[in-house]
Amino acid sequence: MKHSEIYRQRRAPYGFPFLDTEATKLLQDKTRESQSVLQSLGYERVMPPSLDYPDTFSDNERFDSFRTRDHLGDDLSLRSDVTVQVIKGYANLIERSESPVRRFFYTVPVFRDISRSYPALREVYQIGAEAIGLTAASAVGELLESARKIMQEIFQESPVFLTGDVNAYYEVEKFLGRDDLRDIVRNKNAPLLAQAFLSVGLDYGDAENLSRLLLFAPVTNEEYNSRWENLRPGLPLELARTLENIRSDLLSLLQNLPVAVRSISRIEPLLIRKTTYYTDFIFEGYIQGIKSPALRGGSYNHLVEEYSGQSMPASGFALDLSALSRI
Amino acid sequence: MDKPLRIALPKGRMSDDSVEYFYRHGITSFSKFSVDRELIIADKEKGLEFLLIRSKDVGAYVEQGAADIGVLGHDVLAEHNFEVLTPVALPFGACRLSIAYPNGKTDWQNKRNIRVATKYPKLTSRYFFERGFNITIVELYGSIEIAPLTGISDVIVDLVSTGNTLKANGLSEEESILDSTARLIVNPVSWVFRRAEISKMIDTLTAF
Repeated sequence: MKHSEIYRQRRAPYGFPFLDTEATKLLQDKTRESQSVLQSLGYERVMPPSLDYPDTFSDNERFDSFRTRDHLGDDLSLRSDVTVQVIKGYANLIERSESPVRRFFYTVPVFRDISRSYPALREVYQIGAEAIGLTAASAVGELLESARKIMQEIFQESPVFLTGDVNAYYEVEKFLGRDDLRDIVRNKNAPLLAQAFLSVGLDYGDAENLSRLLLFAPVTNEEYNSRWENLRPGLPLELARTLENIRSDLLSLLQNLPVAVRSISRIEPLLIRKTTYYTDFIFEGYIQGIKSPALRGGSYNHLVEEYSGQSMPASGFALDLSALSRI
Repeated sequence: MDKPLRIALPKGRMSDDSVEYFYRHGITSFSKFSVDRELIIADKEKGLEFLLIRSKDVGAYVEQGAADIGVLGHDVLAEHNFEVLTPVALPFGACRLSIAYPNGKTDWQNKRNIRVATKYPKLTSRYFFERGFNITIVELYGSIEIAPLTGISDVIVDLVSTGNTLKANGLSEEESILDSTARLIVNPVSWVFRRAEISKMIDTLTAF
């Protein structure tokens, strides 16, 4: 028998580990702690299906590796993201619901390719919360406060939150007439972004300074404000006006966050998510020692309407509990 | 006292250029590394620690968080797609990634299957495929210039700074694929947790 066949017989597939009793207990304890935080804040548990129609998931999250078919031959995919599933489920409940404001949470595994440069299929255990019917400004504060409590509880450490507005990215994309900036922004590649600004006629200094301010904002809001005020007169009017509006919305969001959240939150002027349904504020939460953000979320104001016909704001987050094993 | 900020540099010319450049901007307290073979060098006065490693490893060290910051050529960064942040283009390490062919063999483009020797398979494949060429990559790790002379490739794609090495090996430069200088790179988590120190360094290097 070949060595690889013996390996297959005795081991779980790479990326899909068998959790031993110790790891299971840790995950179970941390899940319970997280759930009790969310339940105490009025979130109700839902259990979306493991499989769904591939169109349910955001465009960038469909992977052939996780496809199967139902008895009619229709494609099904293991879930890569739970938010849309929860909204689909909520759309069916909406007519029966007495109050349009509903809060849900889930704890489920999702299936993803987590690497940008090589295939790395993984089963990721997530706890997520969705607040439906609350405006983005009030939902983000509530969600970040519950995420802070959960992260503090399970990682025994205070997170740092980065908060941005996805519209700043779309505005820059529109201004530059390009739709290929996601990698440049995700890698915060300031020299490449500056080149893009130069190519549409910004002068060298403004292009360099704007790209650095958008991607590497200074720590204090005072410093950020003063640099923005220096830069603004040199920018094309429409771009300056839109970025200014987004900036003041972000500053006001930050100002209205619960005190404990505000002190660990930073503005990230140009932030973008891989998932494409976000329409407003987005955020990430980091824990020291974990390579990628353990928490991701934001506001998605079109999804409820898409599935239920009723216009309603909504926001949510997903926290990667598998990150526990990476500390 | 806070943990020193760890900076990974590629051993050789680029680490010399980096430390000299940092010194001129007041970031380090010395302008040269000692001639010892130490691979970890502390600048206690400035709270920095340098790791001198192979250039390709700089990206991995910074990506994995073993170093907070690194200096790396744009060519290596573009080839390997490391998950790191890039705040600043630095004004040294200038070179270009170019196609070169043996002197006089101007008909190399007419071959049905062009064999290309390179250390940069991803950038090379992308460049040729986008232009509709059918190529076979011969991935080598050094002395690329002798590949056409020994018959294992028709052309090469390699870094050129002055062009003297190409000339010495009977090669002509056809076209540049990528212009490169050094880049300051930053670990994404270090950017979140050590933002004040890293911001200060970026500001010093760019004199905002």
